[in-house]
Amino acid sequence: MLVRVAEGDPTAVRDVLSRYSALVWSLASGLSNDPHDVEDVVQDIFVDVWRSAGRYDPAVASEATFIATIARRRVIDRRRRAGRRLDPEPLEEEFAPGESDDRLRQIDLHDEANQAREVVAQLTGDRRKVLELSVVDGLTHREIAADTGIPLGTVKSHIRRGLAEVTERLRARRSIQLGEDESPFMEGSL
Amino acid sequence: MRRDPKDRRDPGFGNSNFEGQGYGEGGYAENGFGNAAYRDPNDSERVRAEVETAAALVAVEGASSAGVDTSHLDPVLLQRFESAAGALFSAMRPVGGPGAPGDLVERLIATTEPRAFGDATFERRASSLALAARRPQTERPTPARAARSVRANLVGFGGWAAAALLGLYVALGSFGGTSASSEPATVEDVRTVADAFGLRPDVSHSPWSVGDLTGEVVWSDADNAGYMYIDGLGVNDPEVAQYQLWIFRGQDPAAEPHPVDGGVFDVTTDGGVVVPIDAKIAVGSAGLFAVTVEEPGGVVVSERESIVAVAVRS
Repeated sequence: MLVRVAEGDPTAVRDVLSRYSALVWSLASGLSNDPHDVEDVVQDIFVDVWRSAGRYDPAVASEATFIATIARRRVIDRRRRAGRRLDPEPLEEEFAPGESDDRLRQIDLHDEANQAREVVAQLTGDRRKVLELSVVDGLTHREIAADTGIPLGTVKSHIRRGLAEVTERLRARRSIQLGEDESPFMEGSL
Repeated sequence: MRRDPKDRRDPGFGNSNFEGQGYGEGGYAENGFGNAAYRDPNDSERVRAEVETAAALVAVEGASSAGVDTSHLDPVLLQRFESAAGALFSAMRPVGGPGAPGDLVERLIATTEPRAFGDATFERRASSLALAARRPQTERPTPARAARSVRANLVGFGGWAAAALLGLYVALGSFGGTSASSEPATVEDVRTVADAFGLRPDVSHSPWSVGDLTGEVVWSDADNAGYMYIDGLGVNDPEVAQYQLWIFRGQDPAAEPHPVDGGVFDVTTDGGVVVPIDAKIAVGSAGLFAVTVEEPGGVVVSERESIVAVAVRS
C-alpha cells in the first residue's frame, strides 16, 4: 500500500488509513487524555507517512513497523516540545495493548511487534528500564544516565544491544517473508 | 526513493568489515565514541560496537541529541535500528488514553488526504485528476523533468528570445495560435503580453505552480484561446511520448469527465516554454488547465495517468 501511495495512487490513502489508523491512534493515545490532542498528532503522523512513503523498503520492515517508526518520532517530538514524559503502565500490562481492538488484530504489526516483545520479555532490570526510557519515553542516553544513576557507557550499551537484538529478529523475519536466505547475523557481536 | 532490495548494502553485524565501509580510524573519537581500542585496526569487535552504538543512539534520539556525525554511519544500519525502535515502541507502547472515534478513517481522509501528494491546492486537484493512476512512476513514458531556473534561462537572452516575444505578441494579438509546438520564453514574456491585453476584461492572467513546475496561463473565453507558460517541464522524445494540454470548464476535474483537448506539444529545450492552447471545440468558460503525458499524437480521452501540470484560472 505504501508503494501505491508513493506512486500517487489516491485510493491507496484510504487503504492505508483503513488498515493502520487504529494502530496509529493506539500509539499516539498515550500522549494525552484529550482526544483532540491525540487526533492532532495522528494527523501529523499520517501526513509524514504520505511524505515518506517513497522511502519504504519492504526488505527492512513491514509497513506497520515503518508507520510505527514514524509514529514514534512524532510522538516523542510532541512530548519533548510539551516538556512532559509519559507515565507508562507496568510493562507486563503493556505487552497486550490493543488486543481487544479487532482492528489491530488484523495488522501485521503483531508479527514484528511480537518479535520485539520477545526481546523485551527477556530483558531484566536496568536493561529493560533503559530501553523503555529511551524508546518509549524518548529520553536521551545522558538523561537516562542522570535519572537512573546508571553509568553512561552502560546506558549506551543497553540501548545498542536492545536495538541490535530486535534488528536481528526483524531481519530474519523479513528474510523469511521475502524468500531470502537467512544469513548469520550478529554472530558473537553481543 | 525506495531502494532495490537486491542492491542494498547489508551492514551485517557478525560478518561486516567496518573498516571496508568507511568506519576506519578517526571520526568517532571526536564524537565521544572513540578510544584507544577504536584506533586499533585489529580490534574490529570494538570498532563494530562503537559504530553500532553510534547508530543506535542516532536511531532513538536523533543525530543532534546523540552528538553523532551521521555522515560516518551506514544508512542501512541506521534504517534497521530505527525500524527496531519502531517495533519496540509498538511492543511497549503505553495503554490508556482516549479511544479512537468511530469515524476516524473518514476524518483522517478529510484532513490528511489532501496532503498526500503535496500541500498545494493545485496538487490536490492533480491528485483528483490522477484518480485512475495505477502505473508506477518509473514506467511512465514521462520525459525527464530537469530542475532548472528561469535565471539560467535568461543567460544569453538575445535575438531568438526577441523573435519569440514578437511571435507571442502576434499570436496573442489574434488569439488564433494553433501551433502544436511550444516556444522558448520566460515568464516576463508572458506577463508583458498579458499586460498588453490588460484592458480586455475577458482575458485572464493566472500564475500557478505545482511542485517544481511554475507558470502562468493567459486565456480568453471570448476568443476560445490562450497560452500557457510552463517552467520546469523536461524535454520529451516525441517518438516516445508527447505532452497534451486539456481545458476544464470548471475547477473540479472530477466533475468534468470530458475536458476539451487543448493540443499536443513537445518541449525541445530547457527553460520556460509558452504553449498555445489550441482548443478543438468551444470551451465556454474555462476554469482549469492541465497537462498530461500521452502517447505520440495524443489521445481523445486521457486516462489521466500522468498529470504533470495543473493551472487554475483565477
